[in-house]
Amino acid sequence: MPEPGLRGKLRLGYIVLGALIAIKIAEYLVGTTIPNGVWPFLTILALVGAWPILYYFMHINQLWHPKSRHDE
Amino acid sequence: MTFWRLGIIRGIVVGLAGSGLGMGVTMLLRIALGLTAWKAGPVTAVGTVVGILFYLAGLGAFKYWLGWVRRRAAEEPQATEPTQPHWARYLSFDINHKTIGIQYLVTSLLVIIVAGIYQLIARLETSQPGLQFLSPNTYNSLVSLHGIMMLSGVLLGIAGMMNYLVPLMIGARDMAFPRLNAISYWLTPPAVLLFLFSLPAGGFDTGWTAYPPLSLRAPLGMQLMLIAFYLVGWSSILGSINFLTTIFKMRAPGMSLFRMPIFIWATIATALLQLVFTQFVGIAFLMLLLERLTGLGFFDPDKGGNVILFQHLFWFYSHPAVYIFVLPGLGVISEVVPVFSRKPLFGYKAVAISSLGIAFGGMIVWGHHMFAAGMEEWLRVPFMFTTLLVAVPTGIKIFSWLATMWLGKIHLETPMLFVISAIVVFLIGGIPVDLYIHDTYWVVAHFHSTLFGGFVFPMMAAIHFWFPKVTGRLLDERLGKRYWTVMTVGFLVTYLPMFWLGLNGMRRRIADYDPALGLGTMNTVATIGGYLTGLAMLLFFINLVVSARRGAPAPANPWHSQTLEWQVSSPPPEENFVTIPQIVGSPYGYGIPGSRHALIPMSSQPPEEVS
Amino acid sequence: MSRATTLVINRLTIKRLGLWLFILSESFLFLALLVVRFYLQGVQRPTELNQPLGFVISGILLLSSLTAYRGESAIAYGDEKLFRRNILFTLGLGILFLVGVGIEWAEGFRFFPPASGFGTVFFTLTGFHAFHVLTGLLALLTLVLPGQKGRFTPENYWAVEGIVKYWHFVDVAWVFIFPTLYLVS
Ligand code: HEM
Repeated sequence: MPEPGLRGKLRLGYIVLGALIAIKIAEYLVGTTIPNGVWPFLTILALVGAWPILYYFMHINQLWHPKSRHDE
Repeated sequence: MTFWRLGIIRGIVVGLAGSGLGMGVTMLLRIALGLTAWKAGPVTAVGTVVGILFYLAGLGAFKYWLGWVRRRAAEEPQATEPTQPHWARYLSFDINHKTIGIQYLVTSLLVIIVAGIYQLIARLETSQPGLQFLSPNTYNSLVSLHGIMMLSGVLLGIAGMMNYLVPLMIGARDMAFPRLNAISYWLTPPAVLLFLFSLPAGGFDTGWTAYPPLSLRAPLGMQLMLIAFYLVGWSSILGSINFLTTIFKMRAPGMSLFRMPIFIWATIATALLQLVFTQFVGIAFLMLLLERLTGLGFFDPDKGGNVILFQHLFWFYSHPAVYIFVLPGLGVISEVVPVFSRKPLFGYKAVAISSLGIAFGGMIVWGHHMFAAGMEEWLRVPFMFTTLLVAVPTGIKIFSWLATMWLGKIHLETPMLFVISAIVVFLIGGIPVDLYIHDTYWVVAHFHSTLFGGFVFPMMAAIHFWFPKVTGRLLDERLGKRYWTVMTVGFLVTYLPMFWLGLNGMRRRIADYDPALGLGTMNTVATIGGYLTGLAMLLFFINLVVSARRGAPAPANPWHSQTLEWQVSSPPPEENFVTIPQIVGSPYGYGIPGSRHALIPMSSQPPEEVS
Repeated sequence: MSRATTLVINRLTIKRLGLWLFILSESFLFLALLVVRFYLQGVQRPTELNQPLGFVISGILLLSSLTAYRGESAIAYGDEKLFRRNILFTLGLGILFLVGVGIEWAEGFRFFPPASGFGTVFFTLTGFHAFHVLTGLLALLTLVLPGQKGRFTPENYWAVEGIVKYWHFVDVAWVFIFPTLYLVS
C-alpha cells in the first residue's frame, strides 16, 4: 500500500483524468451533433483541457516556484 | 592511430557508410514495391538523413547518452587525448564553449568566403549587358546560393560570437548544456557540405527564398539546399535554448539584469526570436521537401494547396530574422563604443530594453513583406505602423552610441574604425524601400547595407576586438587599418552604384539586361567594388593567420576594458574562472573614479581599475 | 543547505528551464501546422473521417498521461515497483495509440489520399504527431530497461521527470490536434 503522500497524489491523478475525459466527451458531443460554427467552442474546450495537463501533470508552476527539488 | 581518433574523420567515414546504407535500403524497398530502383530525390533524401545520424554517432555525439542508457559510469567524455596536438580538439566533438565558438566562427568565415566567390563570379556576368559566359539558370543558381549561404554564414557567425562570449561575460564556467551545444555546432558541417554539393547537383534558380511553384520543379540542388538550411535552423534553435538557459540561470553572483553587458541583452533578444520563429521556416522548407518527395499538396492549387501559404510561413521567420542577423552586431557596437570612447555607455537601461523592443517589434512587422504579395488591403496600415515601431528602439541605440562618443576621448583603433563604418552603413540601410522599387537593385543595395552595417562590419570589429583574448596575440594594427580602408571603400563602390541602378530600373535576379537602358557603366563600377571587397578579405585572412602565429603576445586586457572576459588571462583558462567573480557594479563605468564591474577573489591578476 | 545540495537544485532548475524552452519551441511547430490546416482547408472535414476512432485514441493518450503521472509520482516517493508498472502501462498505451493512428491512415489512404486537400493536412499533422509519440516511446523505454533497476531515487529522478514531461507535451499537442482534424465543421 503506497504511503499517504503518494496516495493523495495518485487520487489527484484520477480526478484530473476524470475532468479531462469529461471535457473530451463534451468536445465530442459538440463536434458530432452541431453541424457548423463550432470552432470557437472547441478552441475554448481545448484550452481548458490543456491547462490541467500543464498544471497538474507537467507542474508548470515549478518555473516560477523553484523552491525545492521535486515539489508539486 | 591518432588520425582515427579525430572525431571528424570518424564522423565522415561512418557518415558515408550510413549514407550508402540508407540509399541501398531505399533502393531495395523501391524494387520491392515494384518501382525503378533509382530515383534521385527520395533515394538521396533518405541517404542524407541516415548519413547525418550515422555521422553524429561516429563523431561521438551520442556517446554520453548511450553510456547513460547502458549505465556506464558517467565520466566526462574526453574529446581529445593529451597526446594529440592542440588543434585536434577543434576537429573533434569538444564540449568547451570556447572551442565551439571558434569552430562556429571559422566555419562561418569559410561559408561567407565561398558565398562571396559565387557572387563575384555572377557579378562578372552582370557587369555588362548581354550574356557573357553564364546561362541565366546558372546565374540564378549562383545568386541564390550566394544568398542562402551568406545568411547561414551570418547565423553561424552570431552563434560563434555568442558561444565564445556569453559564458565569459556573465561569469560562468561553460554553457548550461555543453553537449547539446556541441551537437548544435556539429549539425552545421553537413549543411555546409550539402550547400557545396548543391551546385553540381543542378543548383536551384529560385532565389534564396525558394518560393513555390518554381522550387517544386527545381533540380536536385534545391533539395540539398532545403535539407541544409533545415539543419542550420535546428542548430540555431538548440543553440538559443542553451543561451537563454545559461543567461537566466548561470550569471555570477551580483550580476543583476541591469548589470549585464549589452551584448548579453542582445543575445537574449536574438535567442528568443530564433527559438520561436525558426520553426516556421523549418516547417515551410520541410513542407516543400515533402511535396517534392511524396506529392503532398501544400502549395499545389490542383491538390487543394496554396502557394501564398509558403510566403506567409517563410516571412513569418524571415522578417524577424532580419533582427536575428543584426541584433548581436548592434550588441557588439555597444560593447566597443564605450571602451574606445572612455565614457560610460549613454542610456544603458534604454539600450538594454530597446534590444527586447526590437525583438518584439520584429515579431509583428512581418506583414510588410506581404506588400507585393497581395495582402489584404486593411492590414496594410497597421503593418506600416509597426514597421515604424521597430525604428524607435533602433534609433535609441544609435543615439546612445553617438552620445557616448560625444566629447569622449576617442581612440581610433581598428575595432573602433569598424564600428564607425558599421553605424554609417547601417544608417544608409535605413533608407526605406518603396513599393515601386521592389525587386530592383535598390532592394539589393538596401538589404546589403543593413547586413553589412548590422553584421559584417560589427563582426569584423568583434574579431579585431577580441582576437587578443582568443589567441593571446595582438593583430597587426597597420594591416588592420589598411584592411578597414579597402573594405569600407569597397563597400561604398559596390553599393552606392546599386542604389542608382535600382532607381534606373535594374531588376534583380537577371543575368542579362537591355543595353539601351545605359546601365553598363555603373554595373561595371559595382563589380569592381565587389572585387575590392574580395581583396580586403584577403588582407584580413593574411592578418589573421600571420598574427595568430607571430603576433606580439597580448596582455590580459589590452584595451583596458571592464567587462569580465578581460579580467582573466589571454587566452582564458580552460574553465574560464578559477574562482567565480563577484559583480559589484556597471560594466561600463569608464572615467568614473573607483568604478568596478567585478571582483575576482584570489585570482592572479586583480581586476583593473579603469579611469 | 549544504553547498552540494544547492548545486544539485541549480542543475535541476537549469534542466527544467531548458526542457520548457524546447517545449515552447516545439509548440510553435505544432501551431504552424494547425495554422496550415485552417489556411488550406478552412473548417472543412470529409464525412468519411472516423470520428469514433479518433475519440477512442484520444482517450487512450489521455489515459497514458495519467499512467505517466502515476509513474513519476511513485518514483518521487521511492516506490519503484509502482513506477515501473506505470511506465510499462504508458508504453503499452502509446503503442495502442500508434496502432489506432495506423488504422486511421489505412482508411485515409482510401478516402482522402495524401495528394488531396484534406489528405495533405491530415497526414502531415498526424504524421508529425506520431513521430513525436515514437520518440517519446523510445525515451520511455530507456527508463524501464532491465539495467535501470534501482537507478532512480526520490533524490535523483530527473530523467524520469524530463521524459514524462515530454510525454505530457505530446498529449497536449494532441488535445489541440484532435478537435482541429476531427471535430470542426
Ligand atoms: C563581396 C560582397 C558582396 C557582393 C559583391 C554582393 C553582391 C550581391 C548582388 C549583386 C546580389 C543580387 C544579385 C541579383 O539579384 O542578380 C546579391 C544578392 C544577395 N546577397 Fe550579396 N553581395 C555581397 C555580400 C553579401 C553578404 C555579406 C550578405 C549577407 C550577409 C549577402 C546577402 C545576399 C542575399 C541574401 C542576396 C539575395 C539573393 C537572392 O536574390 O536570392 N551578400 N548580392
